[in-house]
Amino acid sequence: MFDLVRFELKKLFVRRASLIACAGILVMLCGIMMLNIVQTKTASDTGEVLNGTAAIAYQKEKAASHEGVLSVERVQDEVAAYKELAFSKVDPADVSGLSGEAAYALMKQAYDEDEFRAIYDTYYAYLFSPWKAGALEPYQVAAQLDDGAADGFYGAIADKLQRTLDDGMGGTWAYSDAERAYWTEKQAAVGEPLAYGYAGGWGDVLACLGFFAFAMVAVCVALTPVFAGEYQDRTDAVLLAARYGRSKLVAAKIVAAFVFATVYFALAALIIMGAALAFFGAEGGDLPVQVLSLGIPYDLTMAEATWIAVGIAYLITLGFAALTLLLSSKLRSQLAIFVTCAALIFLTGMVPSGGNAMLLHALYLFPLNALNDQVLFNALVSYQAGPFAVDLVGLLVGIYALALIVCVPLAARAFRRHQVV
Amino acid sequence: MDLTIDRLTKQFGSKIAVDRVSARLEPGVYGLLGANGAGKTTLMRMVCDVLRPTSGEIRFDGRDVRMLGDEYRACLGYLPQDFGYYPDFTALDFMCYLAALKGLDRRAARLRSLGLLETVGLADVARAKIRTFSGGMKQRLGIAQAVLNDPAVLVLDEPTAGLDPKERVRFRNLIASFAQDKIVILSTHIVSDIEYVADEILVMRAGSFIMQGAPTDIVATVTGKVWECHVDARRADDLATTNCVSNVHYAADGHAVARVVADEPPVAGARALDPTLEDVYLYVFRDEVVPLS
Repeated sequence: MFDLVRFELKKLFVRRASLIACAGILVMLCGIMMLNIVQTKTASDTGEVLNGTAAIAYQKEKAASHEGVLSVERVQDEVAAYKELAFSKVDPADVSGLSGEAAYALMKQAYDEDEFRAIYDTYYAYLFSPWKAGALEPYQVAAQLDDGAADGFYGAIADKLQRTLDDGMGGTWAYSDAERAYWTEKQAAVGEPLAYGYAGGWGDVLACLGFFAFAMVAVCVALTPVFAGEYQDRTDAVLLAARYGRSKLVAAKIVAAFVFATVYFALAALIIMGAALAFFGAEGGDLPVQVLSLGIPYDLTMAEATWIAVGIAYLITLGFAALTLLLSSKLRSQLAIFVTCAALIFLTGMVPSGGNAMLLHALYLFPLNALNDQVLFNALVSYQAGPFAVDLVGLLVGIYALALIVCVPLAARAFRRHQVV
Repeated sequence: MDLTIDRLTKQFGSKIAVDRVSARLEPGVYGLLGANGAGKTTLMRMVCDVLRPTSGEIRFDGRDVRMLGDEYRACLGYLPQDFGYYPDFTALDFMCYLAALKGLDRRAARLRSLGLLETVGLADVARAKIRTFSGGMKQRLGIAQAVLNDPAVLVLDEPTAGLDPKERVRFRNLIASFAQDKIVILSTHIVSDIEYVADEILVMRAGSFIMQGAPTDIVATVTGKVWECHVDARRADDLATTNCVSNVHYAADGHAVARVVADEPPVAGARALDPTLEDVYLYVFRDEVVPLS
């Protein structure tokens, strides 16, 4: 069996077309990740535009200045300090009724550059986000807060969740009672107080999850000929007439296919995660995932969330590998197999939902839509199955595990029953 | 040991490719003779269990081969008509891969592979990629892989296609040395390949066996039907359009000597000749054979 697996792997590795595609995609991933680092840009305290590693270092420094546990007392102090700073020269009533643009213009005119930069610190957009409704600037949110409002920081996070559920994705999705209960319970389980700090490396991995779609396509390209190649090259007659042609060979092909998919995915993960963690830093893995957004209702650390997301990407890759094997066992045309898989991976990420939440929920199940940090943990995507609600993470795991469980035996059966005509 | 083909039928839509074929094969070399489309390849695919019959069954030592599964395939060697290979594998890799598929352990596989590559004259290129091989070399590789597991039943579909005369002689000798105590089924329309090596010939036409027997018995069926005719060169062409002419030799003096297979002497003065298997083939498939002209 080991020898058969070895030879099946060799078949996968010696096909020039797949080799070029697979190597090319790894090189492309390296390039994308390097660009991701080089193109990181931020403005320093002095207004100087920083790029690349300098920008990353500055972001770390800024986040470090705010790091620590977000206790209610700290939030109270920071909200009070912010209000004092932001409204030392402007009356809160003057900005609260303005549009975001008008308020921005007013504040910029009223304060000097250093003060304005301090008021505009992204940390405050984060801190005031639980009270934010609509497209308001942090000082506009602060202007609306009573003095004692900060006492209810964690209550405001819970209220925001309820407002989001009421809003139902801009009125396109009516959350059922089961779904509302699911999200409410999920958020209630998030530990308090939260902590803030720098977790840029882990955050970057989550932001780059979509690039795993390229690895999926490469795996599909490489696995397309596993069965179809035998039909097309007319080697099927010799193989199926051999002693283990309908038994161990099928198992060896499947094992080799998944070994290949796993190794290739590991290489892609090494590039994506390696570059992100090496350049943006591996610190902050133990911080809660809420450093990305206070509205995330998952009780996870950044490292846990990242590994779960990468695990889901791996499972989706295996699911597509299984689908490719099934198509390969049924079809002779390798082009048709590749086009089907590539369309499912890429085109589904480009289909406009047109405000149709049902369609959007269906599209979320495909890689380009699912592998997005703003969707996976943050978009409150859930599905109702009878009396139960399941979130996107759970459904992705279920669907792609099912794809594996269903497609692999069907592919094996199709090859075993293949007739040489 | 016996292989029984029992009322085997294969139908593709409305076309019957193999029509209730029956035979009992014991150790020996069986030559399967038939024109293109006679059903030889379909029959061989069913014998090798890579194509499911519409009805009927094949039994190996009295047991249905479909029930035997791996056990039957362990006794089987097969060279298909369109032999597929992996262009980026070396000959040795290819042999070792098929040896693993046939259940040989790694060490035995390597030794046996090297030995067979030597036998078929590919030892020097054992480590060369198959993509660099000529058609004849690939065919020899195909023959070598078919006998890797020392099969009790060896099925060879057009094994001599692409081989030059010297290679065909070597192939015949290989089959002769291999065939003892084994069932070898050999399909070809190169009649001489079968004539020299087959113990029994099965003639197939339109999906059925129409003749079956030892080569001498088969050849005897056209005794008295093979004629040598001395005619004018222009007359030879006319003769070919109305008769089954196996050979025409044009002499320098404007005359031609034609070998004709016909029930009656085709021309006055025709001389009866000893028949060959090729004469039988031409006679049996006279409606399907393209005339020499």
